[in-house]
Amino acid sequence: MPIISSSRVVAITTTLIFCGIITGPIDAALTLEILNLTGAGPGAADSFERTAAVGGDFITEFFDPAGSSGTGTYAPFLRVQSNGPNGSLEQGYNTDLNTNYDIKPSFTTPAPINSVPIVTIGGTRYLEFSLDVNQSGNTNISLNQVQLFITAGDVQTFSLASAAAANNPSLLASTSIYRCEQGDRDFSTQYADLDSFSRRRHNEL
Amino acid sequence: MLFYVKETPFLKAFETLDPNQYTNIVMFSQFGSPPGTYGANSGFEEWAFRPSKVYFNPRIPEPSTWAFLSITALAGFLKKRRQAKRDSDGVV
Repeated sequence: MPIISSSRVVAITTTLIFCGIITGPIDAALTLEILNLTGAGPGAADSFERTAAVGGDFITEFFDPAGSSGTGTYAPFLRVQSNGPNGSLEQGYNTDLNTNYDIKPSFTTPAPINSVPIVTIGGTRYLEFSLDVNQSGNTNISLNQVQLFITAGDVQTFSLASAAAANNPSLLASTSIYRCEQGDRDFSTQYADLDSFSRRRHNEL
Repeated sequence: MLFYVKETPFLKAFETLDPNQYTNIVMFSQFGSPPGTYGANSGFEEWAFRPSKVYFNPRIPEPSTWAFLSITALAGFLKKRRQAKRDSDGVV
């Protein structure tokens, strides 16, 4: 099992920018709250709680990728990579439908809801999702939108066209549980090189 | 990045959804520009689950189950209290 030592880990300087409550696309006129995520692990310096349009509060947290772990530690369910006409926009959802948007089928799969880890933070239980960012080219990337749905099996009828707005896609035959996107409370992130966190040890909560 | 969403709205959804039918969670995720500030033009971005000792359980106990558990707990409490009273009274 290949091991990646901590010495290979690129020094990470991460800042996370959250927009406040906005009603339109991001532009330079908006006042951005810059969150310094240089420090690692749970704590006030690198853990932030916000409220989404649907689904209530959520937390984002940068974690220390120092150390090493073997491959296969994480269970990926959604991988996207910009490689087509969308240019620098990449999007997708986890399903067996291999042609949806910009997904990479080998690492995109339907996810049983009972496979989502639960963690308790401050006495409150949360569903946990891990994001591996590999924007090493220009070091910055925006995370525009996350939506979560409960579905009856593998639903493949996700459609931008069926949504009220281009940036508000919907998933037919599903129940929307969480939505954070452009137009309500958007979050935009920028990262330095995070490399492949899926092969690294993480700080336990 | 670790991303946490409260469990409460999921549990609330399963008050009306059948967990035997609604078995999957689907995430839609979008990166890049526009509409974001920074483009996604390098490596992949990947969402994953970390190993855990606890996983989401959508199965909410039926009301009859709650009733059974409540009665059992109450019976246990009363029995324990009765035993304690006997002990304090010196009854063998």
